[in-house]
Amino acid sequence: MRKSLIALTLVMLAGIGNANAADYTITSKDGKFDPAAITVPAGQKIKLTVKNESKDVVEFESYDLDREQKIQPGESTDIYVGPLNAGEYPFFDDKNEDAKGTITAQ
Amino acid sequence: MNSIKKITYLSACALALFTAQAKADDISVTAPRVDKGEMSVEAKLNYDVDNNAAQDQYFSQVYGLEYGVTDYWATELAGELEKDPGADSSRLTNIKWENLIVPFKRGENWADIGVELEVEKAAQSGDPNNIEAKFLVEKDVGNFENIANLKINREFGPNAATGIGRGLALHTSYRLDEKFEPGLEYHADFGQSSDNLSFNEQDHKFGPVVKGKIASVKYDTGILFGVSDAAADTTAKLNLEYEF
Repeated sequence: MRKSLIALTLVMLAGIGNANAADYTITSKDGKFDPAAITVPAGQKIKLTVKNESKDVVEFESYDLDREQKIQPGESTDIYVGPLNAGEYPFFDDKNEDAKGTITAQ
Repeated sequence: MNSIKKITYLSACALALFTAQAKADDISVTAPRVDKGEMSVEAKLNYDVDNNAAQDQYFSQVYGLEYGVTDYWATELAGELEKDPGADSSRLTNIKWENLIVPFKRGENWADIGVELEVEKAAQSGDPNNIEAKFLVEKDVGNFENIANLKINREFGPNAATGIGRGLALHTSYRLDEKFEPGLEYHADFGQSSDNLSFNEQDHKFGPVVKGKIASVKYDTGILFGVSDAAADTTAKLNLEYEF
């Protein structure tokens, strides 16, 4: 039992060391995401910084990425996803159906 | 990651591991997630069916209002109505103030962690108050979402139980479709630390659940079957959350 706990703790420690992720930035402005298409490496964790430069709340949402996050006007937030399998991952603004985009992992 | 966050993360992991037998006196599972600026109203309904009249038709309703204050802290005010077996109607039994603290962004580390701290004030004279800490761990593997809640609580005030209550809740579900995610849940209430209850004197439930999101409403429902003598034969649960 004690060995299992030590092993699990070590795994968690290792997880902290793996927190580094490739950075990408998406900006919401004038009702659109910019860029609307991003290509990222498959099999690697990524950090999306989503900036809201609009006057309204943005709700970044993607069922395929399993993420849902509100961003207040003038603020930004970091969203960690992955490692992703190769493929396309659409995302959208739940408050504005015209704002949408795709992350392509390859 | 700075050293304070590392210490917080390791402390929470260690605490979660070493309190692996904890109490569960409700049948919801909390994920360590906070969405700043999100306000939601919640309803949590549980209904017991049992051959024993002393446990049959127990009905609990919790209604709350939650707000994500920061990226790392959400707070909720809720009230619980309970109808005891044999009673004609429900009555307000307590008011809760819950605070969910999540020190890291979701997906930032190997597992997501958080803690939910709750203070419960009894609404009826002679009933005890309660303070509770729930340690939350989530680890998603592929399309499987896995969440563990380890809970300890301490009653205080009139007629308070001695010792520390302990509970555990486990949830796993498959992300099949946004509107329909089937899964399984296990809930255990080990009772007070001072009571040394046997398995059949503790409350253990297990069963299928389904959750999803339809428009702005999240639902989480299921049927849990008692697997120990003290547990109700069947418990139906329905949790609803409407996001603003």
